[in-house]
Amino acid sequence: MNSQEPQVLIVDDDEAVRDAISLWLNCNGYHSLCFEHAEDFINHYSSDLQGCIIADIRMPGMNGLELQSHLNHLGCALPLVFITGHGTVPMAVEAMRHGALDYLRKPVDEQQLLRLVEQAFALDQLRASQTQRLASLTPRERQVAQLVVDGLANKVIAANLNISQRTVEVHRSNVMAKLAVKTLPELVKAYLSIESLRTQ
Amino acid sequence: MTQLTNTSDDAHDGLQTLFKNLPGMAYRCVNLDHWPMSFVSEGCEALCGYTSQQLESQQVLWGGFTHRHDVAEVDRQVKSAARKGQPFEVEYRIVPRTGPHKWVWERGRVVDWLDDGTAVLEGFITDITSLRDAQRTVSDQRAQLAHVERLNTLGEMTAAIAHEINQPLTAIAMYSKSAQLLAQQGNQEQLQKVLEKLAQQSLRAGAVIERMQTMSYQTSHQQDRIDPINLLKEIKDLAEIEAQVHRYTIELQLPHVLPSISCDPIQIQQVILNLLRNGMQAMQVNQCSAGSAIVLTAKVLDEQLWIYVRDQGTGIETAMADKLFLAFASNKHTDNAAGMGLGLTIGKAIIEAHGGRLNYCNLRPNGAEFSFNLALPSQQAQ
Repeated sequence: MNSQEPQVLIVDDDEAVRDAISLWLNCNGYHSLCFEHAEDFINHYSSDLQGCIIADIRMPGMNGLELQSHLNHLGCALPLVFITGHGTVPMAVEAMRHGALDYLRKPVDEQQLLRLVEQAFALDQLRASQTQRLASLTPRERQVAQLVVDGLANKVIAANLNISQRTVEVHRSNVMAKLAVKTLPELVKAYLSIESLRTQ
Repeated sequence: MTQLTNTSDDAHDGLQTLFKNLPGMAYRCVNLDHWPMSFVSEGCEALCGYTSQQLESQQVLWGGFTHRHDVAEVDRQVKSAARKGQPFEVEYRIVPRTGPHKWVWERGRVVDWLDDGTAVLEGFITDITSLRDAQRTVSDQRAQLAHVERLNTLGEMTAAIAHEINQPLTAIAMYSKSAQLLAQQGNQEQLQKVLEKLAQQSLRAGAVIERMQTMSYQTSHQQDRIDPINLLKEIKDLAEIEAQVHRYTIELQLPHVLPSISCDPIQIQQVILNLLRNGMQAMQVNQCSAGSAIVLTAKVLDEQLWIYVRDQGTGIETAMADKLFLAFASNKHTDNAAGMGLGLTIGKAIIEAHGGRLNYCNLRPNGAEFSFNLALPSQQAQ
């Protein structure tokens, strides 16, 4: 399977749970890939993966929270959904604080699972397109965008960067065009949401 | 006793008084069916409701009102002791002339042999009904306490059990919904496979319930002949539910065969389960890594079956050692109210009721070993 294609990456030590979730998602038109151990997934991970991750919290070896922290460290921005059993809800809450999209309680409600996967895919797609947009900015344009968002006037930005005010205006209109926004508030909103997605 | 009977032949008045005041009955009989008596002291009337004349004239026979379930066993023990020339000591029930049955304790020995080789016995029999009743009450209460403790243990294990059941339930939910879709799509081949997997998962959930159920039955005084290997395997399966949560393993090291034991299996399993759970908790406190093993072994030594539980935990602190078996003394530093400190106390009571002892020692470099012994049934009793 092409790794560029969005897929649900399932990490669960229980073979039946893994197999059943994967089957259910396949029946509903999603591609999926299963991993028995968090370590297996880390080995497989590359930054061009798309889709989302569904991981069990309680696993032998590296557990779900450790996996999350490892992935955050790698700069992985894939939406992460945890599966939690009796007694691991506090861990799931902790996981949400560290940027997990949501958690599912066992026994898992299959409709809720589908809704979450759909939501996660949409989020991942948005992140991908916005990251792409942000990546299209030149280093100078990015500098200008950051200062605009910080609330500085064109004159001050020009002085800061030691360029003419006219040049700042050109960069600024390029940024607006590349991020597909028309007004300053829209620019601030788009820029912040991209930044927050990036750091998730 | 021989001396007493010798003098009694002289019909001493003082001796008559002594016999009269005995808290029971002295006797002389021949070891034939029903034990015909040639002499009984006056205490017999209080004991069984018949006069010494009735017994000495052999109008009524002692064996005639010995409880029919006990006659054979008493006969076997008396004959066996007589053969070896040893005194015998038996406890059995009699059915007195009036009132409910009584428990009696009898001690006697062979004093003479008749020409035809029949033994002449002399001994003493006394009423131990109230003692027996008290023992029975204690035993009932212990059984109830053990039952409560067992339900408690299962309650404490809820998280682990819920996890074990939720795994197959999650799979079942997904498989069954997938099966609906596959049926709609007319994908017969894959549908068959999924239905097979569904069945497997429901069996898996059922097996967890079954493991729990054996523990929640109330039994009392059930002294069955038990194969210790089965007993240990069953309890390992149950404890494993929790071991998986801590990611520890339970290593069962057993010889291929062990002699059967006579015990209340549920109570003994309760003791072992408690020891295993305590061990795992101590290993958690000691921050043992995933995959660490707690070892359950059994072996025969000096006509006893010895069962050992060895953990890799913190061991027993000296300060804790003195009160280890006292109720409500717990060294579990857990937030939940789990560590009531009754487990070891009840465990000790159960083992002692089975005639054994619960011991412990610290292991080097770390960990503790708990062990207890159960007497193997004697060859004769088999």
